[in-house]
Amino acid sequence: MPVLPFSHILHHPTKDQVILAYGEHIQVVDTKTGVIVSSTADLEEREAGGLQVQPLTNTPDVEKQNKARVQQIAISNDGAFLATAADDKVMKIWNTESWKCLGTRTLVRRSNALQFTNDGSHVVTADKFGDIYNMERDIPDVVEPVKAEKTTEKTDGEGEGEGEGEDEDEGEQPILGHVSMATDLELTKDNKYIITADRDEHIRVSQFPKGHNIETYCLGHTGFVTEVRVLPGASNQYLISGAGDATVRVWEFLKGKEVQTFNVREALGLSPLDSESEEDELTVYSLAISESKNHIAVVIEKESKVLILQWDPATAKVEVFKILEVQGHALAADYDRSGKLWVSSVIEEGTTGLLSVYDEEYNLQEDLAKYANTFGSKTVDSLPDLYSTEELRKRTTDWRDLKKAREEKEAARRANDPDAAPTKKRRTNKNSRKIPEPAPAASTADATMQE
Amino acid sequence: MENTPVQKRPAEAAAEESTGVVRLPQKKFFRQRAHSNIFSDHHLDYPVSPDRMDWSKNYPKHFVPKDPEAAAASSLTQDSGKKIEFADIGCGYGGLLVALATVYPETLMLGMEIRVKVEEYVNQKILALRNNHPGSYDNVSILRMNAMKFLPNFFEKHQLSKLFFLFPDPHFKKRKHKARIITSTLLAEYAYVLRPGGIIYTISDVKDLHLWMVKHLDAHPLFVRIPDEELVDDPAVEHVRNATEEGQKVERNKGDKYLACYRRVTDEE
Ligand SMILES: C[S@@+](CC[C@H](N)C(=O)[O-])C[C@H]1O[C@@H](n2cnc3c(N)ncnc32)[C@H](O)[C@@H]1O
Repeated sequence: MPVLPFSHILHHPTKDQVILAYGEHIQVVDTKTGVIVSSTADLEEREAGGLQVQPLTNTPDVEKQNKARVQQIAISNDGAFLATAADDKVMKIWNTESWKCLGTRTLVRRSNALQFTNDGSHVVTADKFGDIYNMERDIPDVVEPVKAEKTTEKTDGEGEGEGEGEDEDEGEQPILGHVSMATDLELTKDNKYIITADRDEHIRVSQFPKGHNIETYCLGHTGFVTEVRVLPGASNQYLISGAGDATVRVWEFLKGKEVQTFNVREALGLSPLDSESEEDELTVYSLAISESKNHIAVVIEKESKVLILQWDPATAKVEVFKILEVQGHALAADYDRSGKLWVSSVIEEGTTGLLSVYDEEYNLQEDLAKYANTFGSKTVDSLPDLYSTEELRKRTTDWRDLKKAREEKEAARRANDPDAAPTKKRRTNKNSRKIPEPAPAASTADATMQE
Repeated sequence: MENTPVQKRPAEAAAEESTGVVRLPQKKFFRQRAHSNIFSDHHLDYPVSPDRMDWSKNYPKHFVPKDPEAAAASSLTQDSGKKIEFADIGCGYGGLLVALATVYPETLMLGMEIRVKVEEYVNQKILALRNNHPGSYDNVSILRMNAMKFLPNFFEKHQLSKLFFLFPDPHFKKRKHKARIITSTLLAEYAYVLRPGGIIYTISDVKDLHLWMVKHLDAHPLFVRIPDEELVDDPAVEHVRNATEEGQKVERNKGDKYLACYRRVTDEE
């Protein structure tokens, strides 16, 4: 039976630690020894091979633990606070010394990105409906009851979380919004600007926190944007972005100017697409940056190869530095503060390779991964689709109905075949990705009409 | 963009042939249900960025096609140098555009409409008008587009001087308010495409929607209300009130019309 992969890896900015998330849990690993020092879960003993569970230095608050899957994590610049957001829309703030949960709060909608402001006083979140909120960190220690799913009015195009009597002018107001799913956000180093990305290929640069002043757009991607990060360098004027169009792009972001288009398929030595017109589904899933080495680790959806790019701030170009081959499919990555790269993978069987650690020269450090691989995470019946990019791909439907459709399909599949492995999401027919052109005869009854 | 005219009845076609005058399209053949789900992925053609937009299909007298072969066949040797300055968002059957085309003959203006059939109608109407009045109406066009999502793909920062939101869909239900075309978050995008000094025109027969638009525009730091007295000199205003199909319907039904216009101020620092 498979073991849940580590969905997120995040380095501690001031300590030799990385934080791993899997399922509903978070776990802290000492990056010098590989030992798990804190965990919200009871460590599972699998084939330990003589390895001993090391005592935890503190026991996190598990009282408020629920079963919701962690979907976003962020840490404040001083490392004192960790924020997590889960698929029940609950955001939690943790003290990273005691690992006590300091507060919880129900977000308006599911979060797709979280980041602390420089002073750590606020947490900025980008949500599923495209709204960006700048919220005070010191949030009331209450969990509002999660709104019951509405069962009666689900197909009218307005998805989750919008109660009938709800007045959108009450309560927390977004500082900006996209009419599309927001996929990522990044505050510039000086916190003067916020860069937000969406499913409709847009990257927007706005003033922060006065987000109604839009500076510019960085337009060039031809697929949903998955990640935006400011690149290291004295000028702080360059941004790197990854997307569902098989490219990584470098931007002079305040000018909205693209300075480099980097083709990931080519760089990986993968075979080119059959036809020119075919859209590339190769998806840049996430980016990790080493400020000390100017390296960028590019995680590609459902790929075993992790691309390491060298960033040169002087010429404003990235180029291939190295290609790593991990077990299974790489899912998350981050550099710790000494420059070691931590990569997690989706592994169908066993636990080796769940976590891979590379030293500064990209040599595999098995000793550092063994504790997490042996005791971290937990065995599950089947693996969920952790990439969740399906709802980002374009279809002629309301994007908010896709998740529901997927869940229903999954439920139906399980009902028919309880032992079934999760469905493979990648379609073999690449042409199916295109949005079907409405047939001329059908234009009288446009398939997208709702009411 | 479909430029193919609908099937004509033989008598009609014969009449056109002898006079050279194209009959204007009839609305009844272009009806479509009132609402599109603005959150759906319609089949929409939009450029990656404004500089990659080929406007030659919309304004053949102002833009040389981007495709070299088509450019060779074009009667133009270079662009007129004009950029679109007015955008009518949710233009419906295009009455405003047709009226303003001759009031501002030097200004390029574009209607954006999400409903396919309605876009087809307006497109044919413009083609017929160009045919029947050579030299006029070359400055107006329409695109089928979801204007709530893709304005920055078409217009550069501060490109527009006027944005029109005339009799927009009211989306009465509270939980549908997010679908309204004026929201506090969308106003940032409208401010981006409008130049400082540019004007947003809104009008509605639905008082509740009017108050909603006023509330959000008033609250927005980049827009200030233009007092009604100042509007009397604005030649666009009478057409805002009366030129559109919706405006005329309200007129026939003796309904109220609530106008609110706002000037875009300079960016905050
Ligand atoms: C009530 S009609 C008014 C039409 C016209 N302005 C008039 O005054 O006659 C509103 C129009 O906005 C269009 N519309 C609504 N949302 C839109 C969007 N996001 N982008 C473009 N058009 C939209 C509708 O299809 C409809 O034709």
